[in-house]
Formats: sequence, C-alpha cells, structure tokens
Amino acid sequence: MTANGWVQILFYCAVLLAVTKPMGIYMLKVYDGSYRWLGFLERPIYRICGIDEKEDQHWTSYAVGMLLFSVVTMLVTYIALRLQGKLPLNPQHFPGVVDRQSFETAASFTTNTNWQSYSGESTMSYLSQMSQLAMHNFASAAVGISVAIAVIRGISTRSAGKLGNFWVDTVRGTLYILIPFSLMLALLFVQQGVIQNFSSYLTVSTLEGAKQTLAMGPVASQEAIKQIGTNGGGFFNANSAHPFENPTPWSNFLQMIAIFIIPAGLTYTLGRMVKHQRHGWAVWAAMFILFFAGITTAYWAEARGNPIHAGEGLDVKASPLQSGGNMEGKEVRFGIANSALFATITTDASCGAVNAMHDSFTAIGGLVPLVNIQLGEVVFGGVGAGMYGMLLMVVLTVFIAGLMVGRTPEYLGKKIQSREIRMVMLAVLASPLVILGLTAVASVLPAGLKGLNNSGPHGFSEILYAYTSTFGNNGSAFAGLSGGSYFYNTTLGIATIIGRFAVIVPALALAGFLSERKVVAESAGTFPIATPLFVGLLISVILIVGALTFFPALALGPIVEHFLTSTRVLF
Amino acid sequence: MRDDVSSAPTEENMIDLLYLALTLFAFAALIAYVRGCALLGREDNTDMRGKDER
Repeated sequence: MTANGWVQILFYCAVLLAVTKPMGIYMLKVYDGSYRWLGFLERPIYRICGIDEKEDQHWTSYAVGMLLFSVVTMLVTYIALRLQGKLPLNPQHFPGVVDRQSFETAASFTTNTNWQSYSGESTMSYLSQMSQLAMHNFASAAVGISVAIAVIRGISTRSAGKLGNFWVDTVRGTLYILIPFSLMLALLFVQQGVIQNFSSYLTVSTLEGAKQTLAMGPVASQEAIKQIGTNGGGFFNANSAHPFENPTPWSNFLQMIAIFIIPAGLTYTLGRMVKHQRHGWAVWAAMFILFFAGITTAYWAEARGNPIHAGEGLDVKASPLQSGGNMEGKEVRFGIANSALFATITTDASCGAVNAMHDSFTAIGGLVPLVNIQLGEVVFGGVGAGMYGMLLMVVLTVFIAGLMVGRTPEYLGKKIQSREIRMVMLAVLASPLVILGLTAVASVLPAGLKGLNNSGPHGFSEILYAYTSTFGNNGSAFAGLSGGSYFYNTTLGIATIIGRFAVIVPALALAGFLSERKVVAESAGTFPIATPLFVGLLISVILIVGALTFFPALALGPIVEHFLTSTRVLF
Repeated sequence: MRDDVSSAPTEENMIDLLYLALTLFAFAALIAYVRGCALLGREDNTDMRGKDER
C-alpha cells in the first residue's frame, strides 16, 4: 500500500461526506413536492398518463403498481431486443438478440441488475442501447428511490398503510434527480474523453500495420445513468475498464462518486423525514465503517500481491519503477488503489460496473466484493435499494436489542411486533434460499458445470458470485463463468427478479404495517438509535446475518482457495 | 416454388412464448406474494411485550 493510494481513498471519503447533506436535502425537497422547477414538464406527464398526483396509495396498491410497471417494461424490452434486426439505429446491422439473452437482459435491466452475458459492442444496436437499456437504467433507479422514500414515509408517519403515490414518486425521481444529474455527468464525461456519437464503427490501421475495428456509440449518456442509477451495465464488454467508457483518473473518480451520491444522500433524507437527523448520520456511519473495512481489506490484499510470487523471490513491492502487488486484470491508468476502491464501491452499491476484473483479484481481494453483495448491499447500497435494505436491518437490530433487554422493541416510537418481524425475515431469508439453492443446483448439474473455466474452489466461487451478483441486483461479473447458455441465462434471470421484488414487497409491507402503528413517547427504556452503541450493534447484526448465512459457502470458495494458494495450489 | 412458410410455430417462436409466459407467471406470483404479505400482516394478539411491561 502506498501513501499516494491512501490519499486518493481518503480524498474520495471526504468528497462523499461533503455531498451527503446537499444531496439529501435536494431529494427531500423533490419528494415532498417543494421543488417543482420542472413542473411545466411534470404536470403534463400526469395529465397524459391519467395520474392523480394527490392520490395516496395503500402499500398494496403501491407494490402492485410497481410490479405492473416492471412487468410491462420488461416485456417491451424482451420484444424490442428480439426484433432489433428489423428496427432502425442499427448501423452495424446486428440481428435480433437470441431468446435466452433477451430474457435475461430484460429481467436484468428491469431489476437494476444489468448482468450482461453479451458484449454490448457486438450485440446491441444503438436503438436497443438507448431506448431499452438506458430507459431501464432510469426507470429501475427511479423505482428503487421511490420504494426507499415510501418505506421512510411508512416509518415516519401515521397514515393507515398509505405510503404516497408510486407513479408520482417515480416521475419525480426521474425528472428532478436522474435526468438532470445524468446530463451534467454526461457532459463532464465527454470533457474527459468519453465518446458520444452515432457513427458506424471505425476501421483503423495500427502502428504495426494491422487493421482494427473501433466500436463507437452514444457512450457518455449511457455511462452517466449507468453510475448514478447504480445500474452498472457497460456500453462495452470491458465496462469501465474500457478507455472509451472511463478514460482518465478523473472520469474514474466521478464514476465512483456518482455511484454513492444518491445512496449516501438518502441517509440524510432519512434523518430529515423521521425528524431525527442524528439517526440518519448513525446509519451513514454504520455504512461508512463497513465500506472502509472493505476497501482496507481489498487494498491490502491487492497491494500485497500473490504470495507465491513473493515466495519465489520476485520483487512485488511498490517502487517508482513498478506498482508492485497484484496488477493482473487491472488498468495501469487506475492502479491498485483505484481498482480496489472501485471494486468495493460497486459491490457495496448494487452497481456492478467494473474497472478491473474481479476474477483476477487475489483470493481475499475477491472475497471483499463477494461479501459486500452478500451483506445485502446495504453499505450505501443501490439507489433506494440500499436504504430500504438497511432499514430492514435497522428494524432487526432494534428487535434484537429489545430481546436482549426484555422490552418491547420500538423504532422511532413505533412498536415492532411479530408481523413486522415476519416481513423482515421474509426479506432476509430470500437471499440464502435463492443464492445458495441455485448455486448448489449449478454445482452438480452438467449444464451448470459446463460453464466453468476454472476447477476447484475458484470455479465454485465463480458460480457463487454469479448467483450472488444477480440476486443482489449487482450485475458485476467475477468473470471466468460462461453464462451464455439456456441454463444460466434463465436461472440468473429468475434470480434477478426474485432478488429485486422478493425484498421490495416485504419492505413495503413493513412500512405499511408501521404506518398503522401509533407513536409512543420515548421512555428511559427506549433503545437509542443515534449512539455508537446502536452503530456497533447494527454493524454486528449485518455481519452476523451475512456470516451465518454465507460463511459455509465462502469457506468452500475463496477462503479455502486463499489457504491453498499459500501451499502453491492454484486453480 | 417458394418454401412453405406456414404459420406453424417454429421452435424459436415456442421458446419466445415460454419466456413470455415465464415472465407473466413470475409477476403474477409476485402480485400473489403482495396479497400473502398482507394476510401475514393481519394484526394478531401475540403478546410481544417485555416482562417488565406486563
């Protein structure tokens, strides 16, 4: 590890802290209707779509509206991808996307996952990229933030199960947050050298005289929402490692800030909405501590490098002449610190963009992204998804604290009883059921094993990572697994749908139930939710739930691989 | 003579239909899940109060 690397990491942390409050206030004003500077666009949308912006929806209507919106947009995308060859804006004349990939891509982008089993530059037309994939980047992100805001409303108000209006929340999130921020970010990316054009692919002569095809396209516009919406699906196969997507250290920094800006801001919005700002900061602190632990571990593991190389007497130390450590699968323009930082951020959030190949990380370095997703991506998390996921953990923490002291658990003056805990457990138990269940199936069926490029624990990690990433709506690939088959396209697509909605529905139900509870005054026995004790307990609950659930599987994958690497056994 | 391109569904069309049906089934199940959660959330009389509060 170098001082230069740490300065960059700490600079990132300082900027993240600085943007939290302004972003949180802005989102608060957008969702409470105070900021209507685009009202001249907003009101016609409601009129055309027949939306009554004053209608307050019960949580069940909110959830059903969200599901109907998702299924319709998913079906439209499936059909559009299948018919791509007959549609315009296709200068490369790509044929329709094959059925299994159309299904998985439609499911994946609808759920904010953006797992890609194809190379964008050789599969998707400009129309597919812009009208379908980018559309979902906006829509799925707006849905996530809407759900988070609805959950906070349920917790903070008494409204007989009513959580706001899904359609209004989604329009406001798109119009006031995602579109303006994406526009600004896209311009900054263009300034940094990210391409934005509709040109056909270029054929150029290399210095050696060979011919090379350079993929073109409207990249900057897609790149902006890809990061700010924590979608992660790259225009090109190499994602943010591609120089046309992420050309400079500054574009890399902007991408990393863009991933966390909304999730971090939502902690401040939480504090303001529940009228307990210190609680919002306590949640921020819990997220930050877990984030910092992740980056420290990943940076240490990657900077330390492969222990076999050191054992052979090779110089793996950083020096003015070399980066040292493990540079396999990393871009030299980003180096180890920024690759480890990006990997930690993208998996803390449900983003999934990558600027380095996680498969090439050391065993412990690769463990960090895997664990981040398995913790439920509540460490800032995806836009909205991180917040409602964290609130489920907060309720669980308050419940456990109540059990420990023998008092009725309360959260913000509302009693947590059996029906609330049922909803939390439905959300928490969905992940082991799907991730471990499908990993087990893929690990024994020939169709699953056929996709592996590595044997032993590393191959197991590849399968585990694939289902973890898709269920967690992350979408980052460990690489090494050939996911382009009927078996993987279908099961991974199903995992994305369950991972998204089997958590959202109980979260909305929890909020609906809490909104029916009357608020009781705090007493001496009320568990404080803005103290270091609360932060520590919250972190412990998140780690224990994650560890108890996934430790046996991790022991069969990256952990055993780490110990075997020390004995020079590689996979 | 042109090939017979009758309206009989090809294997590819059938797979398309299967994927569309799978999507609709998945979301129908999720809407049922909303209803299930609502049923699970009906207020019960379970006494969750701590000993000191009874």
